Amino acid sequence: MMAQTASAERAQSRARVAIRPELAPLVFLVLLSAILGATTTGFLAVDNLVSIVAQVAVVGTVALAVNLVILNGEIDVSTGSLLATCSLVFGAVANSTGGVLWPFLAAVGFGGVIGIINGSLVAFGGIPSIIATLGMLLILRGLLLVKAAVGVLAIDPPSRGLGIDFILGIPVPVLILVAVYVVAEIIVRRTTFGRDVIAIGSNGRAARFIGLPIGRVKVICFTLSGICCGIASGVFFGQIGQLQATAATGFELRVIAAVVLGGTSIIGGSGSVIAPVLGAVLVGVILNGLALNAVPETLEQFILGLLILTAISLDAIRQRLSLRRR
Amino acid sequence: MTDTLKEMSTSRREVLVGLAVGAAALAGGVRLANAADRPVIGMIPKYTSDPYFTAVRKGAEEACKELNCDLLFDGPANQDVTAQADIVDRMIRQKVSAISIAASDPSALAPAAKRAAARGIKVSSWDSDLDPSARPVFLNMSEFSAIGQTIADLMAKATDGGKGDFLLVTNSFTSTNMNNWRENIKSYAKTKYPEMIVKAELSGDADIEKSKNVTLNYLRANPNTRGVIVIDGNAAVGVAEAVDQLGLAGKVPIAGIGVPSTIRPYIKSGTVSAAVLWDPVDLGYGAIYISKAQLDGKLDPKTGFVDAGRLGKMKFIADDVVLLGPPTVFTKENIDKYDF
Amino acid sequence: MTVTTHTPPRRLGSLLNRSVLLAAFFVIELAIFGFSVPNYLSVDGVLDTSRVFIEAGLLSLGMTLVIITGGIDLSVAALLALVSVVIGFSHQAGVPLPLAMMLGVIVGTGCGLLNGAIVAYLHLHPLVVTLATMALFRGAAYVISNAEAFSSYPEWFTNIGGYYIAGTVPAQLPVFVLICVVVWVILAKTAFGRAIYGLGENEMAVQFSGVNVERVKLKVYGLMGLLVSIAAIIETSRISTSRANMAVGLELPVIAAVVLGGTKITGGYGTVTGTIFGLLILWYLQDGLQFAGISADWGLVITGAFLILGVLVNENLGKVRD
Repeated sequence: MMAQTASAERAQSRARVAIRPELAPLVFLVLLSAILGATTTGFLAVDNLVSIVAQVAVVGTVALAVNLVILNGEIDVSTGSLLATCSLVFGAVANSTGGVLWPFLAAVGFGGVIGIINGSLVAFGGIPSIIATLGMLLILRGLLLVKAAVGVLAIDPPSRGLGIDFILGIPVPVLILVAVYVVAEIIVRRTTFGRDVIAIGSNGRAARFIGLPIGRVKVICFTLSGICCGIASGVFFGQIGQLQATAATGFELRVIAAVVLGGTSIIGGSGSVIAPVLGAVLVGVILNGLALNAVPETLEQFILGLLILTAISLDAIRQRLSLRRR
Repeated sequence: MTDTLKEMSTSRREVLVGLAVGAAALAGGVRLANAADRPVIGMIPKYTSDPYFTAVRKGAEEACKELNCDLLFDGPANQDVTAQADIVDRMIRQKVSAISIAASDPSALAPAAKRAAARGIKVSSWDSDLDPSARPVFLNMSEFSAIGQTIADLMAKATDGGKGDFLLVTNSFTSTNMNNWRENIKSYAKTKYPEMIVKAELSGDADIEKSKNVTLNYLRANPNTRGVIVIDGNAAVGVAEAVDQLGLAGKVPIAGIGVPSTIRPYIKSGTVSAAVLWDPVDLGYGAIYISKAQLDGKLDPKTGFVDAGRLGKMKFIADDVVLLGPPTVFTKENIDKYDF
Repeated sequence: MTVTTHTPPRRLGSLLNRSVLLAAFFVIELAIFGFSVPNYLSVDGVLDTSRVFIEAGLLSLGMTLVIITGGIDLSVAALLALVSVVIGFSHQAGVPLPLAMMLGVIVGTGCGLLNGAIVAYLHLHPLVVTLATMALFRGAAYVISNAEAFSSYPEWFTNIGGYYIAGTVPAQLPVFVLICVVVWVILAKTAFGRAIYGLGENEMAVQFSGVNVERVKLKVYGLMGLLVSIAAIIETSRISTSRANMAVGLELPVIAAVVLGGTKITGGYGTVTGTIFGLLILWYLQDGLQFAGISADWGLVITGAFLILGVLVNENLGKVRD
């Protein structure tokens, strides 16, 4: 009797691992890397791998926060314009005070404020997040173009540290990505807030019924999204050195792709913290593999769309299967 | 069901009333007289998010002041052919006297340009040409061959003879001027530097980040690349960043088009060996003078040149093409002299 | 059976007010521009602006239906580019133009049906599905066109979008008006239309009453695809070019127009009349501002603001009434 229960339990937990959302993308990533390593010269070179992660650091940092928003059952598509606008703030402050700290704080502050606005529109204005963040995407981009369309903003090398410096041989963007990841893990696993995010995302009605602070949680999620845009903007601007008003157009799609491909379910309530990092790296590896194999760049968007579609279809099937298991 | 119909009818009635009022206002001919006796010249850049076109605007404003005209400068923020065509149509409605345009696509803008011409608006192009059937005159900054040759020569000089595989980065495959330069570089190289092979041509879509990434990926996959030819100002910045990041500055020379204000740090550091451009301020200035000549009826290829204020006389190098002047090469020595 | 003719009278009250409000707003807007901007208001000019918004208008009609069912379609602009590229580049490859146009329509409607099928049968959220297909369609357009443009269209084709009847009325305007009427009839007078409202209100109830929900969704998205194809033909003809980066971002002002017109983003409520007024208000606003010399970039800000305000008002107006 006891042995049966024990083995049944083991079988159950094995089943749970089998359908952990981030397992599929992880396996895919490992397989893909192995194939690319074997067939493509230059892929496994250390500086290539490191540069992949440095390139995806910006997407990954923002995706870690948008992941929370999606887990919560909402969506944030304002990140492209927000990243560019935070970069503008970063650059403007950098050009008057120099250095990295003040521009960084200014960008983070600005991102946070916009995040609060997004969250409030959703939580208290009753506006669906897709609309609120779409509207913000347009408004920010429009203001950015009005303010800065004439010309390109440049910052001096000392202010570019977040993008191009190395600490102990590791690129700063990577360190920032890891730091944000660690904080995100702590938030989700160790705080009530983290648990609430997922609870509200998986069953909003029940959450309201038991009195969870839905409005507050939503606002915080969007604020975190804005803060991460601010953090990432320091890295972004550092990496490119000169900012156009049209920079980061389409960025929001890459962020959502990273989250979805990493295993987080778009309808909310299911996913993991590592998902966006996995997804971002996966996209980075795929694009790098395509480039190294001289696949025409016109295929990029097509492949990205195909990947997202496949990922969410598989996710839907997975959800259906796990429901049936119960 | 009939209730619905009645309700619907009521709202429709209101709607019709509203429309009637509007139509009355229209028919009443609320048409304020065009107060300006000064001609209005509409100038349309390819897009506005580039300091190059801002400099063009400066020159245009200078010329308009000298010639007693009003300047209407409008363009899309990004490369957007539809938006450009819409702006042409709007300028027709705004009753401008002349339209001077840098076309993002020669044939797409042609119908709109022809519509303008049909309404008596004088059309001319600069920087990036329209389909020749749609305009009587095009202001070319430098002959395409001159630019192409200069770039090829610069690259050859930087790479000790230009032997090897080269990457070429542009900003689109549809711009007239980009396409012309590409062809000229390649055909000139074939005769003068037969071992200079343009192995790949990539587009950075006028986005610095994208230009950087395509260059990064290409150079990693093709470590034997001898140099990078770049024919767009924004791309030049991205390419320089990529080369710097890979630690290849100096080893993989960059030469091509560059706008001094954005390319300056890279010229000084040596990442970009030399950049070619012409003065966009002069370009805008000259384009306005051409429009004014059209308005005054003084544009005549048979005379051989166009009067262009402080630029002197601009030559006709063909019946419908006017030349601005020779290209300017920017190097470490002279780049600080330019502020655009 | 138990499927009711779904037009709850109490909502009609606010419909009445809203349409009047929108109409008045539009007239006032035109009047303001007419008085403050020289040369703006003329029959020619106003009609000419219609050339610009007709393509978005067709998309808005389809989007209204989609949003009423509780869904959304972000892929419309990308699909427009894809259809245009299919027409242009198949013609370049030798296909006679009328056949190429039909091919474009087939591709467009087919892609719409693809959206519908994934949403209906895989039960995936239309937001993410169309986000993915947006990238898919746009990407396909780039692949087919190889990032180049095709512009060699004969005159009869460019007349579709460029001809003026009697010198002032754009050729595509009567076509647009006709399609508006057809869509209005579908929505307000047919069982299909009632099912659309029903889906947005209470999908489960509609399902229980015997309506094939999947089939309705399929048809709605398919219809959207058809409208996109027509819009693609008109826009391609108007600018006489096919390129993969046409109509980038067009889905946003389209959604804004629909929402502004009173359609609730959560579904179940909306009208063709409202959408048309939303369209007119938005487009003439941007047109007037640009005419007055105010940069087009403010247009983005305005679209975003109207998007948010439109939904804000929709949601809260409903609350006040109830």
